[in-house]
Amino acid sequence: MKQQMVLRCSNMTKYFGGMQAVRAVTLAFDNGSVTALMGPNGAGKTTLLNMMTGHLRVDEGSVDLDGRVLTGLVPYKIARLGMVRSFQITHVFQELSVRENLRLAADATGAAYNHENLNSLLVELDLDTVADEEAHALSGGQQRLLELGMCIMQRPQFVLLDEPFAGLNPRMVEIICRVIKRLDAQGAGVVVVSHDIATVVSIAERIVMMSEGEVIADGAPSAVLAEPQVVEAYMGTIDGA
Amino acid sequence: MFNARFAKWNPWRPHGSQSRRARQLQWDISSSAGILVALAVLPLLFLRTPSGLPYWAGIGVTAFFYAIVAVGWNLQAGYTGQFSLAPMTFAMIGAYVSTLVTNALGTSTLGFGAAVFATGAVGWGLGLVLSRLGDHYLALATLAFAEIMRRIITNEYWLTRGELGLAAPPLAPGISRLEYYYLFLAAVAFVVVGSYFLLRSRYGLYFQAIREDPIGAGTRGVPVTRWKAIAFAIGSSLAGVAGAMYVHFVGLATPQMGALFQTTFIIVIVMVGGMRTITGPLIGAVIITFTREVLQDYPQYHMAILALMIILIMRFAPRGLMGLLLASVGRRSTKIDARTAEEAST
Repeated sequence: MKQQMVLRCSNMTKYFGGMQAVRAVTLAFDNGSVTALMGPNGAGKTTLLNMMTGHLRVDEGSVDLDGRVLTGLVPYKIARLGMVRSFQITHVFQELSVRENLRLAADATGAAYNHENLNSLLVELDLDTVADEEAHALSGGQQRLLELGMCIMQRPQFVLLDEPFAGLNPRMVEIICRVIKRLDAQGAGVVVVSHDIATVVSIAERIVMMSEGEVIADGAPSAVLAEPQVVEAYMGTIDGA
Repeated sequence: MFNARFAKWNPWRPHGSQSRRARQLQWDISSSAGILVALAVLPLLFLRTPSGLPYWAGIGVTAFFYAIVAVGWNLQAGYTGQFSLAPMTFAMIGAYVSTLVTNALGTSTLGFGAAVFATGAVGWGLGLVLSRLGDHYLALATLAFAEIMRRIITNEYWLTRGELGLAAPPLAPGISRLEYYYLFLAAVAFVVVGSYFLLRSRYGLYFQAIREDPIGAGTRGVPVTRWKAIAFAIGSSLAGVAGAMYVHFVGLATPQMGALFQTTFIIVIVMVGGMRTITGPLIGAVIITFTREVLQDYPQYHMAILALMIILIMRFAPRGLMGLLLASVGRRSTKIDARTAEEAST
Protein backbone atom coordinates (compact mmCIF):
# COMPACT_ATOMS: atom_id res chain seq x y z
CA MET A 1 0.00 0.00 0.00
CA LYS A 2 1.36 3.38 -0.94
CA GLN A 3 1.74 6.10 1.64
CA GLN A 4 -0.97 8.71 1.84
CA MET A 5 -0.46 11.61 -0.57
CA VAL A 6 -2.55 14.65 -1.32
CA LEU A 7 -2.76 16.57 -4.57
CA ARG A 8 -3.95 20.04 -3.68
CA CYS A 9 -5.19 22.87 -5.92
CA SER A 10 -5.51 26.22 -4.15
CA ASN A 11 -7.41 29.17 -5.62
CA MET A 12 -6.48 28.18 -9.15
CA THR A 13 -7.54 30.75 -11.70
CA LYS A 14 -7.10 31.03 -15.43
CA TYR A 15 -7.95 33.86 -17.78
CA PHE A 16 -8.19 33.63 -21.56
CA GLY A 17 -8.16 37.26 -22.58
CA GLY A 18 -11.05 38.84 -20.72
CA MET A 19 -12.75 35.54 -19.98
CA GLN A 20 -12.19 33.80 -16.65
CA ALA A 21 -12.13 30.10 -17.57
CA VAL A 22 -11.33 28.81 -14.07
CA ARG A 23 -12.34 30.83 -11.00
CA ALA A 24 -10.42 30.32 -7.76
CA VAL A 25 -10.86 26.56 -7.67
CA THR A 26 -9.69 24.90 -4.47
CA LEU A 27 -9.71 21.10 -4.38
CA ALA A 28 -7.78 18.27 -2.76
CA PHE A 29 -7.43 14.72 -4.09
CA ASP A 30 -6.18 11.75 -2.09
CA ASN A 31 -4.26 8.94 -3.66
CA GLY A 32 -5.99 5.60 -3.52
CA SER A 33 -9.28 7.11 -4.62
CA VAL A 34 -11.12 7.75 -7.87
CA THR A 35 -12.62 11.21 -8.38
CA ALA A 36 -14.72 12.23 -11.35
CA LEU A 37 -14.48 15.80 -12.55
CA MET A 38 -17.71 16.58 -14.35
CA GLY A 39 -19.54 19.51 -15.81
CA PRO A 40 -20.98 20.86 -19.04
CA ASN A 41 -18.77 21.77 -21.96
CA GLY A 42 -16.77 24.90 -21.21
CA ALA A 43 -16.95 24.36 -17.45
CA GLY A 44 -13.15 24.59 -17.15
CA LYS A 45 -12.37 20.92 -16.42
CA THR A 46 -9.67 20.46 -19.05
CA THR A 47 -8.25 23.91 -18.35
CA LEU A 48 -7.91 22.93 -14.69
CA LEU A 49 -6.18 19.69 -15.68
CA ASN A 50 -3.86 21.54 -18.05
CA MET A 51 -2.82 23.90 -15.26
CA MET A 52 -2.26 21.02 -12.85
CA THR A 53 0.07 19.21 -15.27
CA GLY A 54 2.01 22.29 -16.41
CA HIS A 55 0.50 22.44 -19.89
CA LEU A 56 -1.03 25.84 -19.13
CA ARG A 57 0.40 28.64 -17.04
CA VAL A 58 -1.42 29.21 -13.75
CA ASP A 59 -2.56 32.83 -13.57
CA GLU A 60 -3.42 32.75 -9.88
CA GLY A 61 -3.24 30.11 -7.18
CA SER A 62 -1.04 27.07 -6.83
CA VAL A 63 -0.94 23.30 -7.09
CA ASP A 64 1.12 21.04 -4.88
CA LEU A 65 1.69 17.33 -4.51
CA ASP A 66 2.13 16.48 -0.85
CA GLY A 67 3.62 19.88 -0.13
CA ARG A 68 5.88 19.92 -3.18
CA VAL A 69 4.82 22.95 -5.22
CA LEU A 70 4.17 22.04 -8.87
CA THR A 71 3.10 25.51 -10.03
CA GLY A 72 5.45 26.76 -12.73
CA LEU A 73 7.10 23.38 -13.34
CA VAL A 74 7.31 22.11 -16.92
CA PRO A 75 5.26 18.99 -17.79
CA TYR A 76 8.18 16.55 -17.84
CA LYS A 77 9.17 17.46 -14.26
CA ILE A 78 5.59 17.07 -13.06
CA ALA A 79 5.40 13.67 -14.80
CA ARG A 80 8.62 12.59 -13.11
CA LEU A 81 7.18 13.61 -9.74
CA GLY A 82 4.40 11.10 -10.31
CA MET A 83 1.53 13.04 -11.83
CA VAL A 84 0.68 11.78 -15.31
CA ARG A 85 -2.20 12.33 -17.65
CA SER A 86 -4.03 11.44 -20.84
CA PHE A 87 -5.61 13.87 -23.30
CA GLN A 88 -8.99 14.29 -24.98
CA ILE A 89 -7.19 14.00 -28.31
CA THR A 90 -4.63 11.29 -27.75
CA HIS A 91 -0.93 12.09 -27.80
CA VAL A 92 0.64 8.78 -28.77
CA PHE A 93 3.68 8.59 -31.04
CA GLN A 94 2.32 7.48 -34.37
CA GLU A 95 5.54 6.21 -35.93
CA LEU A 96 6.60 4.18 -32.89
CA SER A 97 5.22 0.73 -32.21
CA VAL A 98 2.85 0.11 -29.33
CA ARG A 99 5.68 -1.54 -27.38
CA GLU A 100 8.06 1.36 -28.11
CA ASN A 101 5.45 3.88 -26.96
CA LEU A 102 5.14 2.04 -23.65
CA ARG A 103 8.92 1.66 -23.25
CA LEU A 104 9.45 5.33 -23.95
CA ALA A 105 6.96 6.35 -21.26
CA ALA A 106 8.72 4.22 -18.64
CA ASP A 107 12.26 5.17 -19.73
CA ALA A 108 11.59 8.90 -19.87
CA THR A 109 10.00 8.94 -16.43
CA GLY A 110 12.72 6.73 -14.97
CA ALA A 111 10.18 4.05 -13.97
CA ALA A 112 11.47 0.50 -13.59
CA TYR A 113 9.90 -2.22 -15.76
CA ASN A 114 10.70 -5.55 -17.30
CA HIS A 115 9.39 -7.44 -20.30
CA GLU A 116 6.96 -9.41 -18.13
CA ASN A 117 5.38 -6.18 -16.79
CA LEU A 118 5.14 -4.82 -20.27
CA ASN A 119 3.66 -7.96 -21.78
CA SER A 120 1.08 -8.39 -19.02
CA LEU A 121 0.04 -4.75 -19.47
CA LEU A 122 -0.36 -5.35 -23.21
CA VAL A 123 -2.63 -8.31 -22.44
CA GLU A 124 -4.60 -6.31 -19.87
CA LEU A 125 -5.20 -3.55 -22.43
CA ASP A 126 -6.01 -6.07 -25.15
CA LEU A 127 -3.13 -4.68 -27.22
CA ASP A 128 -0.94 -7.79 -27.21
CA THR A 129 -1.87 -8.73 -30.77
CA VAL A 130 -0.79 -5.32 -32.07
CA ALA A 131 2.24 -4.84 -29.81
CA ASP A 132 4.68 -4.45 -32.69
CA GLU A 133 2.39 -2.40 -34.92
CA GLU A 134 2.99 1.30 -35.25
CA ALA A 135 0.48 3.43 -33.37
CA HIS A 136 -0.96 4.96 -36.55
CA ALA A 137 -2.22 1.51 -37.52
CA LEU A 138 -4.41 1.33 -34.39
CA SER A 139 -8.05 2.37 -34.13
CA GLY A 140 -8.93 5.51 -32.18
CA GLY A 141 -10.07 3.37 -29.25
CA GLN A 142 -6.87 1.34 -29.24
CA GLN A 143 -4.84 4.56 -29.26
CA ARG A 144 -6.78 5.68 -26.19
CA LEU A 145 -5.94 2.39 -24.48
CA LEU A 146 -2.30 2.81 -25.50
CA GLU A 147 -2.20 6.28 -23.96
CA LEU A 148 -3.63 4.84 -20.74
CA GLY A 149 -0.94 2.15 -20.90
CA MET A 150 1.72 4.85 -21.21
CA CYS A 151 0.34 6.50 -18.08
CA ILE A 152 0.57 3.20 -16.22
CA MET A 153 4.15 2.59 -17.40
CA GLN A 154 5.08 5.90 -15.77
CA ARG A 155 4.29 4.40 -12.33
CA PRO A 156 2.10 7.33 -11.29
CA GLN A 157 1.05 8.62 -7.88
CA PHE A 158 -1.80 10.44 -9.59
CA VAL A 159 -3.36 9.86 -13.00
CA LEU A 160 -5.50 12.52 -14.63
CA LEU A 161 -7.60 11.08 -17.46
CA ASP A 162 -9.31 13.54 -19.79
CA GLU A 163 -12.40 11.99 -21.41
CA PRO A 164 -11.02 8.44 -21.39
CA PHE A 165 -14.34 6.89 -22.45
CA ALA A 166 -15.13 9.22 -25.36
CA GLY A 167 -15.95 7.34 -28.54
CA LEU A 168 -15.17 3.89 -27.15
CA ASN A 169 -17.16 0.71 -27.50
CA PRO A 170 -18.45 -0.98 -24.31
CA ARG A 171 -15.67 -3.58 -24.34
CA MET A 172 -12.98 -0.86 -24.28
CA VAL A 173 -14.86 1.11 -21.62
CA GLU A 174 -14.86 -2.05 -19.52
CA ILE A 175 -11.10 -2.46 -19.97
CA ILE A 176 -10.45 1.13 -18.93
CA CYS A 177 -12.71 0.81 -15.88
CA ARG A 178 -10.87 -2.35 -14.86
CA VAL A 179 -7.51 -0.60 -15.19
CA ILE A 180 -8.73 2.42 -13.21
CA LYS A 181 -9.92 0.13 -10.42
CA ARG A 182 -6.54 -1.62 -10.40
CA LEU A 183 -4.72 1.71 -10.16
CA ASP A 184 -7.05 2.68 -7.33
CA ALA A 185 -6.40 -0.60 -5.52
CA GLN A 186 -2.64 -0.12 -5.94
CA GLY A 187 -2.86 3.23 -4.19
CA ALA A 188 -2.72 5.68 -7.10
CA GLY A 189 -5.07 8.63 -7.15
CA VAL A 190 -7.23 8.81 -10.28
CA VAL A 191 -9.05 11.90 -11.54
CA VAL A 192 -11.37 11.22 -14.46
CA VAL A 193 -12.92 13.95 -16.58
CA SER A 194 -15.98 12.48 -18.24
CA HIS A 195 -19.55 13.12 -19.36
CA ASP A 196 -20.46 9.43 -19.10
CA ILE A 197 -22.53 9.53 -15.89
CA ALA A 198 -23.32 5.82 -15.74
CA THR A 199 -19.70 4.76 -16.11
CA VAL A 200 -18.44 7.42 -13.73
CA VAL A 201 -20.90 6.39 -11.04
CA SER A 202 -19.67 2.80 -11.32
CA ILE A 203 -16.02 3.69 -10.62
CA ALA A 204 -15.83 7.00 -8.76
CA GLU A 205 -16.12 7.45 -5.03
CA ARG A 206 -16.46 11.19 -5.42
CA ILE A 207 -17.75 13.61 -8.02
CA VAL A 208 -16.60 17.21 -8.36
CA MET A 209 -19.06 19.15 -10.50
CA MET A 210 -17.88 22.30 -12.25
CA SER A 211 -19.81 24.94 -14.11
CA GLU A 212 -18.57 28.20 -15.63
CA GLY A 213 -15.14 27.76 -14.06
CA GLU A 214 -16.37 27.12 -10.53
CA VAL A 215 -16.95 24.07 -8.37
CA ILE A 216 -20.68 23.89 -7.77
CA ALA A 217 -20.83 20.55 -5.97
CA ASP A 218 -18.41 18.09 -4.43
CA GLY A 219 -19.19 14.80 -2.71
CA ALA A 220 -20.48 11.27 -3.11
CA PRO A 221 -21.95 10.56 -6.57
CA SER A 222 -25.52 10.01 -5.39
CA ALA A 223 -25.57 13.25 -3.41
CA VAL A 224 -23.92 15.39 -6.10
CA LEU A 225 -26.11 14.13 -8.92
CA ALA A 226 -29.23 14.84 -6.86
CA GLU A 227 -28.40 18.50 -6.26
CA PRO A 228 -30.73 20.86 -8.15
CA GLN A 229 -27.97 23.22 -9.38
CA VAL A 230 -26.08 20.21 -10.77
CA VAL A 231 -29.15 19.01 -12.62
CA GLU A 232 -29.73 22.51 -13.93
CA ALA A 233 -26.11 23.07 -15.01
CA TYR A 234 -25.77 19.68 -16.62
CA MET A 235 -29.19 18.99 -18.10
CA GLY A 236 -30.61 22.50 -18.35
CA THR A 237 -34.22 23.28 -17.49
CA ILE A 238 -37.23 22.09 -19.44
CA ASP A 239 -38.36 25.56 -20.50
CA GLY A 240 -34.80 26.69 -21.10
CA ALA A 241 -35.12 29.40 -18.47
CA MET B 1 30.63 -15.04 -21.19
CA PHE B 2 31.99 -12.86 -23.98
CA ASN B 3 28.85 -13.33 -26.05
CA ALA B 4 26.55 -12.61 -23.15
CA ARG B 5 28.38 -9.42 -22.27
CA PHE B 6 28.60 -8.03 -25.76
CA ALA B 7 25.40 -9.40 -27.27
CA LYS B 8 23.56 -6.14 -26.69
CA TRP B 9 25.99 -4.33 -28.99
CA ASN B 10 25.33 -6.72 -31.87
CA PRO B 11 23.10 -4.96 -34.39
CA TRP B 12 22.03 -8.24 -36.00
CA ARG B 13 20.83 -9.95 -32.84
CA PRO B 14 17.05 -10.35 -32.57
CA HIS B 15 15.91 -7.04 -31.05
CA GLY B 16 13.68 -7.03 -27.97
CA SER B 17 11.13 -5.21 -30.06
CA GLN B 18 10.64 -6.37 -33.63
CA SER B 19 8.89 -3.21 -34.70
CA ARG B 20 9.28 -1.98 -38.25
CA ARG B 21 11.56 0.75 -36.92
CA ALA B 22 13.85 -1.81 -35.26
CA ARG B 23 13.98 -3.98 -38.38
CA GLN B 24 14.67 -0.97 -40.58
CA LEU B 25 17.44 0.16 -38.27
CA GLN B 26 19.12 -3.25 -38.63
CA TRP B 27 18.84 -3.08 -42.43
CA ASP B 28 20.04 0.48 -42.38
CA ILE B 29 23.25 -0.18 -40.45
CA SER B 30 23.89 -3.31 -42.53
CA SER B 31 23.62 -1.22 -45.70
CA SER B 32 25.97 1.36 -44.22
CA ALA B 33 28.48 -1.34 -43.35
CA GLY B 34 28.34 -2.71 -46.91
CA ILE B 35 28.80 0.73 -48.47
CA LEU B 36 31.68 1.60 -46.13
CA VAL B 37 33.46 -1.66 -47.02
CA ALA B 38 32.89 -0.96 -50.73
CA LEU B 39 34.30 2.54 -50.32
CA ALA B 40 37.31 1.11 -48.48
CA VAL B 41 38.18 -1.28 -51.34
CA LEU B 42 37.30 1.16 -54.13
CA PRO B 43 40.76 2.82 -54.30
CA LEU B 44 42.28 -0.60 -54.94
CA LEU B 45 40.60 -0.56 -58.37
CA PHE B 46 42.80 2.40 -59.27
CA LEU B 47 46.03 0.59 -58.50
CA ARG B 48 46.53 -0.20 -62.19
CA THR B 49 46.07 3.47 -63.08
CA PRO B 50 47.65 5.18 -60.08
CA SER B 51 47.81 8.55 -61.86
CA GLY B 52 44.05 9.05 -61.40
CA LEU B 53 44.06 7.95 -57.81
CA PRO B 54 44.92 11.25 -56.04
CA TYR B 55 42.26 13.10 -58.01
CA TRP B 56 39.44 10.68 -57.22
CA ALA B 57 40.65 10.25 -53.65
CA GLY B 58 40.27 14.01 -53.30
CA ILE B 59 36.69 13.84 -54.58
CA GLY B 60 36.10 11.03 -52.11
CA VAL B 61 37.37 13.20 -49.26
CA THR B 62 34.96 15.96 -50.28
CA ALA B 63 32.09 13.45 -50.39
CA PHE B 64 32.98 12.18 -46.91
CA PHE B 65 33.19 15.72 -45.58
CA TYR B 66 29.67 16.37 -46.83
CA ALA B 67 28.56 12.97 -45.50
CA ILE B 68 29.64 13.80 -41.93
CA VAL B 69 27.88 17.18 -42.01
CA ALA B 70 24.81 15.50 -43.55
CA VAL B 71 24.70 12.75 -40.89
CA GLY B 72 24.73 15.44 -38.20
CA TRP B 73 22.06 17.51 -39.94
CA ASN B 74 19.94 14.39 -40.43
CA LEU B 75 20.06 13.65 -36.69
CA GLN B 76 19.03 17.21 -35.93
CA ALA B 77 16.54 17.96 -38.71
CA GLY B 78 15.48 14.48 -39.82
CA TYR B 79 15.14 12.62 -36.55
CA THR B 80 14.44 15.49 -34.13
CA GLY B 81 12.60 17.79 -36.53
CA GLN B 82 14.74 20.92 -36.12
CA PHE B 83 15.14 22.13 -39.67
CA SER B 84 18.27 24.22 -39.36
CA LEU B 85 19.63 26.21 -42.28
CA ALA B 86 23.05 26.53 -40.67
CA PRO B 87 24.86 23.16 -40.91
CA MET B 88 27.59 24.54 -43.14
CA THR B 89 27.90 27.58 -40.89
CA PHE B 90 29.01 25.24 -38.14
CA ALA B 91 31.41 23.53 -40.55
CA MET B 92 32.82 26.98 -41.31
CA ILE B 93 33.13 27.82 -37.60
CA GLY B 94 34.87 24.47 -37.01
CA ALA B 95 37.24 25.16 -39.88
CA TYR B 96 38.21 28.62 -38.59
CA VAL B 97 38.53 27.55 -34.95
CA SER B 98 40.70 24.59 -35.90
CA THR B 99 42.87 26.72 -38.21
CA LEU B 100 43.33 29.51 -35.67
CA VAL B 101 44.15 27.14 -32.80
CA THR B 102 46.43 24.97 -34.94
CA ASN B 103 48.27 28.02 -36.26
CA ALA B 104 48.62 29.43 -32.75
CA LEU B 105 49.60 26.27 -30.90
CA GLY B 106 51.08 24.20 -33.71
CA THR B 107 48.99 21.09 -33.04
CA SER B 108 45.90 20.08 -35.00
CA THR B 109 44.74 17.79 -32.17
CA LEU B 110 44.01 20.80 -29.99
CA GLY B 111 42.50 22.49 -33.05
CA PHE B 112 40.04 19.61 -33.48
CA GLY B 113 39.20 19.60 -29.78
CA ALA B 114 38.58 23.34 -29.82
CA ALA B 115 36.45 23.06 -32.98
CA VAL B 116 34.26 20.31 -31.49
CA PHE B 117 33.89 22.19 -28.22
CA ALA B 118 33.18 25.57 -29.83
CA THR B 119 30.63 24.29 -32.37
CA GLY B 120 28.99 22.00 -29.80
CA ALA B 121 28.71 24.86 -27.29
CA VAL B 122 27.37 27.35 -29.86
CA GLY B 123 24.97 24.67 -31.17
CA TRP B 124 23.78 23.91 -27.64
CA GLY B 125 23.19 27.60 -26.90
CA LEU B 126 21.44 28.21 -30.20
CA GLY B 127 19.35 25.07 -29.70
CA LEU B 128 18.22 26.27 -26.26
CA VAL B 129 17.38 29.75 -27.52
CA LEU B 130 15.46 28.45 -30.55
CA SER B 131 13.84 25.43 -28.89
CA ARG B 132 10.44 27.07 -28.59
CA LEU B 133 10.27 28.19 -32.20
CA GLY B 134 8.08 26.39 -34.72
CA ASP B 135 9.49 24.83 -37.90
CA HIS B 136 9.49 27.83 -40.22
CA TYR B 137 10.59 30.31 -37.59
CA LEU B 138 13.44 28.01 -36.57
CA ALA B 139 14.60 27.72 -40.18
CA LEU B 140 14.51 31.51 -40.59
CA ALA B 141 16.31 32.11 -37.29
CA THR B 142 19.11 29.68 -38.24
CA LEU B 143 19.33 31.34 -41.64
CA ALA B 144 19.81 34.69 -39.90
CA PHE B 145 22.43 33.15 -37.61
CA ALA B 146 24.25 31.69 -40.64
CA GLU B 147 24.34 35.05 -42.37
CA ILE B 148 25.49 36.88 -39.23
CA MET B 149 28.35 34.40 -38.71
CA ARG B 150 29.42 34.61 -42.34
CA ARG B 151 29.43 38.42 -42.17
CA ILE B 152 31.44 38.41 -38.95
CA ILE B 153 34.05 36.10 -40.44
CA THR B 154 34.17 38.12 -43.64
CA ASN B 155 34.50 41.46 -41.85
CA GLU B 156 36.86 40.62 -38.97
CA TYR B 157 39.86 40.80 -41.25
CA TRP B 158 42.39 41.15 -38.41
CA LEU B 159 41.50 37.62 -37.28
CA THR B 160 40.23 35.83 -40.36
CA ARG B 161 41.78 37.68 -43.32
CA GLY B 162 38.24 38.10 -44.68
CA GLU B 163 37.52 36.85 -48.20
CA LEU B 164 41.20 36.09 -48.73
CA GLY B 165 40.89 33.17 -46.36
CA LEU B 166 43.12 31.73 -43.71
CA ALA B 167 45.84 29.25 -44.65
CA ALA B 168 45.60 25.95 -42.76
CA PRO B 169 48.49 23.51 -42.50
CA PRO B 170 48.01 19.87 -43.52
CA LEU B 171 47.13 17.39 -40.79
CA ALA B 172 50.60 15.88 -40.99
CA PRO B 173 53.65 16.78 -43.07
CA GLY B 174 53.60 14.95 -46.40
CA ILE B 175 50.23 13.28 -45.84
CA SER B 176 48.90 11.89 -49.14
CA ARG B 177 45.42 12.22 -50.59
CA LEU B 178 44.88 8.49 -50.18
CA GLU B 179 45.72 8.77 -46.50
CA TYR B 180 43.23 11.62 -46.21
CA TYR B 181 40.71 9.41 -47.99
CA TYR B 182 41.02 6.64 -45.41
CA LEU B 183 41.14 9.10 -42.52
CA PHE B 184 37.85 10.68 -43.63
CA LEU B 185 36.35 7.25 -44.34
CA ALA B 186 37.22 6.17 -40.79
CA ALA B 187 35.58 9.36 -39.47
CA VAL B 188 32.45 8.64 -41.52
CA ALA B 189 32.37 5.06 -40.18
CA PHE B 190 32.72 6.33 -36.62
CA VAL B 191 29.91 8.85 -37.08
CA VAL B 192 27.61 6.32 -38.79
CA VAL B 193 28.13 3.65 -36.12
CA GLY B 194 27.76 6.26 -33.37
CA SER B 195 24.48 7.51 -34.79
CA TYR B 196 23.22 3.93 -35.08
CA PHE B 197 23.83 3.26 -31.38
CA LEU B 198 22.29 6.61 -30.49
CA LEU B 199 19.17 5.90 -32.54
CA ARG B 200 18.57 2.42 -31.20
CA SER B 201 18.95 3.59 -27.61
CA ARG B 202 16.17 5.16 -25.58
CA TYR B 203 17.49 8.55 -26.69
CA GLY B 204 16.70 7.66 -30.30
CA LEU B 205 13.10 7.18 -29.19
CA TYR B 206 13.24 10.58 -27.44
CA PHE B 207 14.38 12.23 -30.69
CA GLN B 208 11.55 10.65 -32.65
CA ALA B 209 8.99 11.45 -29.97
CA ILE B 210 10.08 15.10 -29.87
CA ARG B 211 9.80 15.40 -33.65
CA GLU B 212 6.37 13.78 -33.77
CA ASP B 213 4.74 15.37 -30.76
CA PRO B 214 6.67 17.61 -28.37
CA ILE B 215 3.65 18.02 -26.06
CA GLY B 216 3.22 14.26 -25.81
CA ALA B 217 6.95 13.76 -25.26
CA GLY B 218 7.02 16.25 -22.38
CA THR B 219 3.97 14.62 -20.82
CA ARG B 220 5.71 11.27 -20.84
CA GLY B 221 8.73 12.73 -19.03
CA VAL B 222 11.08 13.62 -21.89
CA PRO B 223 12.95 16.89 -21.20
CA VAL B 224 12.08 18.29 -24.61
CA THR B 225 14.10 21.51 -24.51
CA ARG B 226 17.21 19.71 -23.24
CA TRP B 227 17.06 16.99 -25.91
CA LYS B 228 16.36 19.47 -28.66
CA ALA B 229 19.48 21.36 -27.57
CA ILE B 230 21.46 18.11 -27.40
CA ALA B 231 20.39 17.19 -30.94
CA PHE B 232 21.37 20.68 -32.08
CA ALA B 233 24.73 20.36 -30.33
CA ILE B 234 25.41 16.92 -31.86
CA GLY B 235 24.54 18.14 -35.37
CA SER B 236 26.64 21.27 -34.90
CA SER B 237 29.69 19.54 -33.47
CA LEU B 238 29.64 16.90 -36.24
CA ALA B 239 29.58 19.70 -38.79
CA GLY B 240 32.31 21.43 -36.81
CA VAL B 241 34.62 18.43 -36.75
CA ALA B 242 33.98 17.80 -40.46
CA GLY B 243 34.90 21.41 -41.23
CA ALA B 244 37.95 21.17 -38.96
CA MET B 245 39.21 18.11 -40.83
CA TYR B 246 38.38 19.37 -44.29
CA VAL B 247 40.10 22.71 -43.89
CA HIS B 248 43.42 20.94 -43.32
CA PHE B 249 42.82 18.96 -46.50
CA VAL B 250 42.03 21.93 -48.73
CA GLY B 251 44.54 24.19 -46.93
CA LEU B 252 42.35 27.31 -46.79
CA ALA B 253 39.47 28.43 -44.60
CA THR B 254 37.12 30.83 -46.39
CA PRO B 255 33.69 32.28 -45.57
CA GLN B 256 32.40 30.55 -48.72
CA MET B 257 32.20 27.29 -46.75
CA GLY B 258 29.28 28.78 -44.80
CA ALA B 259 27.40 30.14 -47.81
CA LEU B 260 23.71 29.26 -48.14
CA PHE B 261 24.24 27.28 -51.36
CA GLN B 262 26.55 24.95 -49.41
CA THR B 263 23.79 24.31 -46.86
CA THR B 264 21.36 23.70 -49.72
CA PHE B 265 23.80 21.09 -50.92
CA ILE B 266 23.61 19.29 -47.54
CA ILE B 267 19.80 19.35 -47.61
CA VAL B 268 19.79 17.93 -51.15
CA ILE B 269 22.22 15.18 -50.10
CA VAL B 270 19.98 14.10 -47.23
CA MET B 271 16.79 14.34 -49.32
CA VAL B 272 18.24 12.31 -52.16
CA GLY B 273 19.90 9.73 -49.90
CA GLY B 274 16.99 9.42 -47.51
CA MET B 275 15.98 11.56 -44.59
CA ARG B 276 15.68 9.74 -41.25
CA THR B 277 17.94 6.93 -42.41
CA ILE B 278 21.53 6.34 -41.34
CA THR B 279 22.80 5.32 -44.76
CA GLY B 280 20.95 8.04 -46.66
CA PRO B 281 23.37 10.92 -45.98
CA LEU B 282 26.30 8.67 -46.88
CA ILE B 283 24.97 7.49 -50.24
CA GLY B 284 23.51 10.93 -50.94
CA ALA B 285 26.90 12.56 -50.37
CA VAL B 286 28.71 10.04 -52.56
CA ILE B 287 26.15 10.16 -55.39
CA ILE B 288 25.74 13.93 -55.46
CA THR B 289 29.44 14.75 -55.08
CA PHE B 290 30.59 12.31 -57.74
CA THR B 291 27.74 13.22 -60.11
CA ARG B 292 28.59 16.87 -59.73
CA GLU B 293 32.22 16.10 -60.45
CA VAL B 294 31.47 14.00 -63.53
CA LEU B 295 29.19 16.74 -64.85
CA GLN B 296 31.90 19.40 -64.45
CA ASP B 297 32.94 18.56 -68.03
CA TYR B 298 29.53 19.73 -69.24
CA PRO B 299 29.21 23.10 -67.52
CA GLN B 300 26.25 24.15 -69.67
CA TYR B 301 24.17 21.15 -68.49
CA HIS B 302 25.76 20.54 -65.11
CA MET B 303 23.22 22.19 -62.81
CA ALA B 304 20.25 21.29 -65.03
CA ILE B 305 21.07 17.57 -64.96
CA LEU B 306 21.64 17.64 -61.20
CA ALA B 307 18.35 19.47 -60.68
CA LEU B 308 16.49 17.01 -62.93
CA MET B 309 17.93 14.10 -60.98
CA ILE B 310 16.76 15.66 -57.72
CA ILE B 311 13.27 16.32 -59.10
CA LEU B 312 12.94 12.72 -60.30
CA ILE B 313 14.07 11.31 -56.96
CA MET B 314 11.74 13.61 -55.04
CA ARG B 315 8.85 12.64 -57.33
CA PHE B 316 9.34 8.88 -57.30
CA ALA B 317 11.14 8.37 -53.98
CA PRO B 318 10.10 11.19 -51.64
CA ARG B 319 11.84 9.54 -48.71
CA GLY B 320 15.03 9.28 -50.77
CA LEU B 321 16.82 6.26 -52.16
CA MET B 322 17.44 4.62 -48.80
CA GLY B 323 13.91 5.42 -47.65
CA LEU B 324 12.62 3.59 -50.73
CA LEU B 325 14.69 0.52 -49.88
CA LEU B 326 13.73 0.54 -46.19
CA ALA B 327 10.04 1.00 -46.98
CA SER B 328 10.21 -2.17 -49.09
CA VAL B 329 11.90 -3.92 -46.14
CA GLY B 330 9.03 -2.82 -43.91
CA ARG B 331 6.42 -4.08 -46.38
CA ARG B 332 8.24 -7.37 -46.89
CA SER B 333 8.59 -7.94 -43.16
CA THR B 334 4.91 -7.19 -42.63
CA LYS B 335 4.01 -9.77 -45.30
CA ILE B 336 6.30 -12.33 -43.68
CA ASP B 337 4.73 -11.59 -40.28
CA ALA B 338 1.25 -12.02 -41.72
CA ARG B 339 2.22 -15.30 -43.39
CA THR B 340 3.84 -16.60 -40.19
CA ALA B 341 0.74 -15.69 -38.18
CA GLU B 342 -1.45 -17.41 -40.77
CA GLU B 343 0.68 -20.56 -40.68
CA ALA B 344 0.66 -20.57 -36.89
CA SER B 345 -3.13 -20.33 -36.81
CA THR B 346 -3.67 -23.25 -39.21
